[in-house]
Amino acid sequence: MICNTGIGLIPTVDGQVEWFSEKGLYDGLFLMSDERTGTYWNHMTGEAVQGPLTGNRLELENVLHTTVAQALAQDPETQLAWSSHPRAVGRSEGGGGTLTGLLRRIRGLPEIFPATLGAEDERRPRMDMGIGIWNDTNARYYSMDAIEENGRLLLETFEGQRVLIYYDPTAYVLAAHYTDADRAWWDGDVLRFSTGEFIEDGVRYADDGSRVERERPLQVFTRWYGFSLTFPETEVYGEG
Amino acid sequence: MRRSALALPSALTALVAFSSSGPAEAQETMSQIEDFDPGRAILNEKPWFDPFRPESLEPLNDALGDGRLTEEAALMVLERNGQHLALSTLQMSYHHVAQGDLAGEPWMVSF
Repeated sequence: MICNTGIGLIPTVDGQVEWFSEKGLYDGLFLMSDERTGTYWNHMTGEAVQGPLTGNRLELENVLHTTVAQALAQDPETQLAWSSHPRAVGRSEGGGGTLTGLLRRIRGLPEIFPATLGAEDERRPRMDMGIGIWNDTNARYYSMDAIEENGRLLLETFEGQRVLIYYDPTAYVLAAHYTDADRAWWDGDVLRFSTGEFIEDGVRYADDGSRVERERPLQVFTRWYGFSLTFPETEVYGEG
Repeated sequence: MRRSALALPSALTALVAFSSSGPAEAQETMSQIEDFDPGRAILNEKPWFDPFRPESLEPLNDALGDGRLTEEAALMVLERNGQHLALSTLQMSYHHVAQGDLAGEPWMVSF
């Protein structure tokens, strides 16, 4: 969470569901461990890194970082998994908060974290917030500062596909979507595309107002140290 | 890339859409970790945090209605077979791992 690498993983190995919890720390990122074998797993890449299942990898999927209002706009029937654990309830007192707000409260690494770090990449500050996107051959990092300096959006080409990187003012998160548009701009809080599509309250619409799916590269709204240690040769937007 | 990119699996190219993402779209992945250094890893026997394994779900609207969540509250949402499941991001800042099944398919979120 310090690094904020929220991501989805399919918890099966050879078709068998494994049960996971956080049991370690490496590169300042929590390691998961499965109950059955005790293998430790990288939670950003899904790779088994230590133990009997080393060499396996869990399948990854994006989770959508959003808000209650946006989730209900997308699907009014959205179901909630609500934890009654006292410490979880305590974290969400007051109705919960925004992800950006949560991140901005964290200014540095806890005491035990630095000893687990590999050689850090100094192209960005350790705790810099940004979004990392990647595929099978490449990774790229966009700092929140760079996106804000560009009017909260960047239209980029990543591995041959056009991708829009933007700060969603209603979800308070950085996000990336593939697009065919060659231009995008803000119209208040509505993000409009040259194709006629638009994103409003986190929902993407075609020019006729119908909803369309949002194709997204794998992405994490994250801290620089975590992303750069996981993808050491990542490109950094605006640098080289 | 030293660790991940050269060996990153085809699954990482999967395009994941809010309304259609799921295991059927994720692809098999496999690679070897070549440079994991256990000397600087902390490997515990017991979990630091209790993982979240929800036994039941409820309409998101209910939590909005009774004030547990505000409209601006951060969520992480996943999808299986057209059904959407939301987790409170702030609750996940304690649990770090949540896991269960939705529409008969397993899911897990780490944070």
